[in-house]
Amino acid sequence: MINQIFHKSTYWLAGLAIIFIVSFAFAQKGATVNDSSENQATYLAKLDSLEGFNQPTAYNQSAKNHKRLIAELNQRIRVYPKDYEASLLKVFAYIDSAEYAKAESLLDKLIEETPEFSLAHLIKGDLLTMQVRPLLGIGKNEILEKVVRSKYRQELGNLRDEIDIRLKNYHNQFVSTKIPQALLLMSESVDTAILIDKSKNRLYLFKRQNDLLPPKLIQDFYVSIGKLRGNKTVRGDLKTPEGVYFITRFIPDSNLPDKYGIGAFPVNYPNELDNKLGKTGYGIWLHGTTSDSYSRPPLDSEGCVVLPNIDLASIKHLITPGKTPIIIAESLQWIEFDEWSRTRKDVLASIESWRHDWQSLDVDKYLQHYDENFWSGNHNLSTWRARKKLLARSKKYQKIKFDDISLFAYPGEAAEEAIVVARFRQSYQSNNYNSEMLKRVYLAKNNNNWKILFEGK
Amino acid sequence: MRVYPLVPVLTRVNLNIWTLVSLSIGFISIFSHSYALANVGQQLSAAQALTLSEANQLYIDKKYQSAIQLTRTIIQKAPDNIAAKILQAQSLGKLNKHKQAIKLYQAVLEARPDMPEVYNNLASLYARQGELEVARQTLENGIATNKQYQTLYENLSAIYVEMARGAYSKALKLGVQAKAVQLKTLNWALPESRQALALNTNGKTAGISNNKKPATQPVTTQPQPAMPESTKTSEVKLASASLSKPEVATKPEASVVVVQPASQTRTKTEFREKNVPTINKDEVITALQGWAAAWSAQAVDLYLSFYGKEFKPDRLSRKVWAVQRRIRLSKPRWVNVRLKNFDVKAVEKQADKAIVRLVQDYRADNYQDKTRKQFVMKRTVDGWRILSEQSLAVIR
Repeated sequence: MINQIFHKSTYWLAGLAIIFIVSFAFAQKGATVNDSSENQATYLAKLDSLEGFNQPTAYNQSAKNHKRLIAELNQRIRVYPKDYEASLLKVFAYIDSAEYAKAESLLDKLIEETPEFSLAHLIKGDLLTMQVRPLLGIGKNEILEKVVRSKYRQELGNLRDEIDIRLKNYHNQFVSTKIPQALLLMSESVDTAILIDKSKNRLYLFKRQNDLLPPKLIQDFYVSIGKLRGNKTVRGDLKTPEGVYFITRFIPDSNLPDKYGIGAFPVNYPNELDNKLGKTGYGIWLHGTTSDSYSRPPLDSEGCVVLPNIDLASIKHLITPGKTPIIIAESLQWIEFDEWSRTRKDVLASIESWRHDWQSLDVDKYLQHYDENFWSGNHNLSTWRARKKLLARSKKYQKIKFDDISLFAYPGEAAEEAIVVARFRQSYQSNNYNSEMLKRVYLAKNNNNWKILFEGK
Repeated sequence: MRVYPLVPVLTRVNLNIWTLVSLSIGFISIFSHSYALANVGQQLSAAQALTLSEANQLYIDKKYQSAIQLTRTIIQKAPDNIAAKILQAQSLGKLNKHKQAIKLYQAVLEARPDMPEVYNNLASLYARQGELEVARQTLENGIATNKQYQTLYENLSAIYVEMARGAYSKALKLGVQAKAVQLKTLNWALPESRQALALNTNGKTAGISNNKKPATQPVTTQPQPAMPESTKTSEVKLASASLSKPEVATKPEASVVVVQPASQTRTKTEFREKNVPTINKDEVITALQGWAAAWSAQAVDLYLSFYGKEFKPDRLSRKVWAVQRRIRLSKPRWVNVRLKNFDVKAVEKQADKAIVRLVQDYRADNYQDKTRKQFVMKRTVDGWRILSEQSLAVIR
């Protein structure tokens, strides 16, 4: 338990795609047998013997997988040519299937295009090293040992962690038929949504299709998050908050230190629920990386979500301050279409019934839609009840309309009960008062009924 | 005109590794060269051959400038004389005229793309200029012509090591400059000069050290069949014949062992200093909250990172203290540290120092207490760091 988050490098070897290690071992077969200082000439012989090596079945199978993987990666690169992570993974696949020349030329191209990508240099070093010295794993060999002084050990560990996380989470991609539980309904005005999976260090960008179909994944990226794992509670606790948030504005790079990269999207942490729970802190942003680095280590920020500049640039135009939600979870939940469809129907029905009862001026029935822990501003359920009863007396009629409804489910671990955040436009007409406003409502699931937990502008 | 047989008449001279090591830098030895001059593919007049051997002697005597002049006259008379060109290129290389040497070697390779030594020496020139990628390619081409030359593998290996180091330096942003690599060069000599060299083994000529073992055995010349009327085809046959018999095309030995890593220049990463003169109390509090969070998470390294360089623990050395903290932080099964009642004050006239008083509420599975504490904080490039930490009182 001691310090475990910072010592992930102890398990990265074990967790890593085993085939990868195996292939390195293959490549090294010759070198380990012959002491390199004694006979340098073996490396070519070694490669020769590799060609004729009688490969075990598992290896051949993984070669097949590599073909599929490469095809998949090519598809990604076609869609997004700057998907340098995909290019790097392709290099791995080539190394794995012993196509070193292909691996190297692709790597060189990658380095030329994005010279700040430290991981590309690290793999290049490995690819060169494996010609002359045994590799003990990714970024682990005698030559590198001599290069790294103690001061840089942490940085090397960070690079290994990043590779590990990128590799694993690319491979562990969710099944594409599943739907993010968080995105129950995206209204017409909400074109895109951002989801962050902290456990995977991954950002997913979803796009609305239409009212009936679930949103579609357009891209996903590696991101860095807070130095400490866990949900944020106190200012300065170096953790990334979990919950349903919205991008509030955009700060261009001209107004920011280089640290934030090409720009920053502040997030509305602490939101209404966070405030209610007494959470503190501020300045949680989605932002880019310094100009001299490509990416940052997995756990590196003070709570912000950090996306490499290149990737941020590619999705910047898809983020609309005031509209785009950013839902951050320790680990995102993925559900089947049936469950997705059922849940949103349930929530929509509850909202409709609440609206109906509100409009009907039957205050007792209307108040039944509220959770016992309800709050709104300084109101709790009893003050709210008193106020509404008083108001109802002056009303002869009320006409209430909700438009443009969006529903976002709270991440499971972030709240004790199931919570959905609804956002919509409300137009209110009555005999003595008319209004139009954007509303945010939190609904909590209580005995199979969705009750209003919070209501506000 | 009498044809001077320049067909391989060479023997092997074995220098073992040990000898090589014992030799001083820059000395010249000879290696067997099964097809070297034969492959030159031309017939020289006796006079020319003599001049060539003279030039070679000049080279051995380290009179490189004279060797260059002499070879120049040879080349003027016989523009295709590859032996003279190689000798000239070697001399140019010795005089650090890399560009000229490279040009000559390239010309030689254009005419005769099958001479591993030439690839090797050309690569060594590239490597000395820091053009590692080109050097690597050149060596690989050389190996493709003949897989038996150990020196080429050794050099290629040195290139790989340096390139890997370069790549790792970039990965870690060490700021290490690309380095030139000094490779082993292969010298290439005429039979006569070898005899001369053999005779000189006890002398000081050609940079051979006095205590040198008689590595250069008395040369036994193995007469080779005189070359048939030299036609292109027969040359090719001869060359390929020697290639196909590795035992004939013996391992050439390295002559000069110089693997001298150039000095590393490490540029210090420079940080930009911020110029903010006033104390932002929030920043100070945020840093201390981070310290508490790291403690609560029992993330020792992170916790320790909140202490500034100048932090001096009470009665303990910094190292011992760090070890002690590591043990104490790791011991409990869980820890929860909360800070409250912050009182932040700037230290007089100093924009980068602050005194903070607070109450620390420490809870762990085995112990809990509340302490009033005082911190002196200092602003660094990485944020606010603890300069001193003091317990004022235990509250209950």
